Amino acid sequence: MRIKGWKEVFAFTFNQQIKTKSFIIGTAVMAFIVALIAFLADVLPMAFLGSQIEQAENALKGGSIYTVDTVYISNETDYRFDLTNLLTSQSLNCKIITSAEADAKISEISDTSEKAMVVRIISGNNGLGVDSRYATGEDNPVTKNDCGSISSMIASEVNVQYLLQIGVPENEIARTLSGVTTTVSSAGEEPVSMIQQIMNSVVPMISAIVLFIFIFSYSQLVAQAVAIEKSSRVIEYLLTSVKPLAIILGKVLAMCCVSLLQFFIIGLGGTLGFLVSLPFGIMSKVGSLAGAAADSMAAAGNSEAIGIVNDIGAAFSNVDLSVLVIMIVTFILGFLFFSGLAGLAGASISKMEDLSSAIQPMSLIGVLGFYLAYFPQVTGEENTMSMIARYIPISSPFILTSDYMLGKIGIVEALISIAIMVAADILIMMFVAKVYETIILHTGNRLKIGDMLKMTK
Amino acid sequence: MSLVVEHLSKKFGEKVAVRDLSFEINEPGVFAFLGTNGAGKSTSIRMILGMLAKDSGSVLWNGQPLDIMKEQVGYLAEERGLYPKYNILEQMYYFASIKGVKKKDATPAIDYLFSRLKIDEYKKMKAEQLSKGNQQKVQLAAALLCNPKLIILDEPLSGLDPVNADLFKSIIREERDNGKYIIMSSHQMETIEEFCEDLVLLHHGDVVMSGNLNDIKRSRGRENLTIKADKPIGDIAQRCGLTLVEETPNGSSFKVKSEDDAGRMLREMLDNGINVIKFDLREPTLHELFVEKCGGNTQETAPEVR
Repeated sequence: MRIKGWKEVFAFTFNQQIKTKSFIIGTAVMAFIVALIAFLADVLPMAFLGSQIEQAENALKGGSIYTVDTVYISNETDYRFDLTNLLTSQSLNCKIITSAEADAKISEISDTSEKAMVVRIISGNNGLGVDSRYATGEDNPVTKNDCGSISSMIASEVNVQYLLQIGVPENEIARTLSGVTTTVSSAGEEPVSMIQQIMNSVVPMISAIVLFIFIFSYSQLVAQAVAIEKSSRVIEYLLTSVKPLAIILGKVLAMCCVSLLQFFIIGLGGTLGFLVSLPFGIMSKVGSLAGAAADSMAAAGNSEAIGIVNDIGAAFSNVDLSVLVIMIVTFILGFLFFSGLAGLAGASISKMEDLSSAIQPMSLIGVLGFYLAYFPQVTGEENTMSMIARYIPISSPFILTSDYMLGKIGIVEALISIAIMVAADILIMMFVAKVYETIILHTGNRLKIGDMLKMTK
Repeated sequence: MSLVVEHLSKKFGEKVAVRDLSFEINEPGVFAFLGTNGAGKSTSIRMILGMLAKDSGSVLWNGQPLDIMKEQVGYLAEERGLYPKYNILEQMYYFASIKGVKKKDATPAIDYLFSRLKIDEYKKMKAEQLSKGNQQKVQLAAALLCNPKLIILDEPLSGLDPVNADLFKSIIREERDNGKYIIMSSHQMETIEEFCEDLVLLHHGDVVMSGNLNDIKRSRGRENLTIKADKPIGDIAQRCGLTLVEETPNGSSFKVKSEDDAGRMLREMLDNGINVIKFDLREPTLHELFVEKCGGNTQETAPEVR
């Protein structure tokens, strides 16, 4: 079926809408606010996580993954130990000192900002020992934990070199040191990191709110535009050249594009804000470190900084082009659904003052859909309600994108949800097509939903 | 070219809006589409234009069903309007575009019509800034924008001051002289008489009169007599079988059964030494026919005159 004239309706509606002061000012203000939020959201976390990120960055850029830079080694045994290669491989400076110097050095680093530790390899009654002292002092970041890790590493190497020197064959040593493999895992579900938890609840909520505002406010503009055409009687003229279906189609698509345009302009504002924040923000650091951090997990051991980097990276691991595509598709489908209903609401009245009461049923459906999408996300965990919400056309447009982005659903589930939305949109548009032609010239009291349903028979 | 409307009917629920409407327009000119308020004129026009589904009947333009998506039809609706917040010129370009006319082709037509209607200076304004009369001019310009062959004007003169009404009339005359087929609805019977030769009159959805206006008048004969005299004439009029319709300072109006009765009345007045100032025997006006057909009960109206 060729619908003549919809393109002209589309072009006129689009052009007029983007020229309105409310669109220009509203878009500019929102773009600025979003830019500011994007900037602050990237920069503010650095105040809390900055030192840890910096530490991880140092580690992964070739610096030490520890808070220690220099290890002073004092070998007080009769054996020879070469620890230089081991420590250098961990980006640690290795400095050999005598036992006399060791005492002086320990005294020296007891109140210093030097990131150092002193390791004494000693002989005792029970064999060899490693005695480590770490630097202390105001603002000295060296931690006992890191020194413990370095000491264990050195002790292990000293042990191997000692066994070789007393004549134990290399393969025997390897067999002895291989030990017993141990694995540790949680009894229940793998615990979710704090950052992942925050992302799981905050992102869907923000996404639901933003999509709801855009879809719903522009759907109401469709209702308003239809009502203006009816109340100003322009519709009588338009119908001499275009069919009612072409009018509603052109109008709905134009409003959809206007809202997408506004959405992208605001998104552009956010991107600009983010780009400006890059030199100071957390995301650029996370972005550059995330991949490298994953490779260094083994070496990093229980490093908290690397963990945070990986948590943030994991939260956005599903963000790619498919997310953008799904977001646009669900936005358009959600928009068609609600604006189709809104168009009917606008056509059911003859006077502008009846508009608010006419769009009330649509508002209720929209708000219900929004809460269906919003509430299950509060806990950040998967539940029955959230599963249902992503397949119901009144709520799925608000939640599908974030669910997919956070990896709560895969592409198959997303496509099923989209297919349901498409089917719902077709049904709505068939209903609109059937009823709109009849009610567009209706004058008098507002038509009720029951009246419209009768028209479809 | 011709427009043939045959047996057009429409019901809204149980209420008959239009019943068996038929008429033909076979040559350019202005065709009067008349009726009381709520008689079904706008419903009929909407059915003719295809904006409203008809229950039965057909509308043929040049022997083919009229398709306003293909034919250029100019329409000035009774309930007309413009987008209040939008620029007038942009609205005109939009109206042209939905009729398939490109901007460059629409510009000369808009310039001509706006100049002709003396609204050039309002092109850049918003509709809500214009007076009702000027908005009406813009709407007439929109109706005539694409040089349509068939023009439907529903109450084109309502709400206009005499100066602008004359301007509208001159434009309608111009369109008629350019060979356009114009259907005009109006409650101003003098205007209809001025423009139209053929008409259809609706009352409560029924056609109560249709045909050529002169033929209708001629078929009724000269039955309206107005007399102004220097003495009372009531007794003489009664004797001559005249029925008094009304008395005004300009004289007394009577209905006569035949022209012979009128002649007898004149003779009797002269024989009685009455000085006759005015003696006007004429055919009924359209206004009188309208009131006669629609003023009382539809069931009692005379059969239609063709």
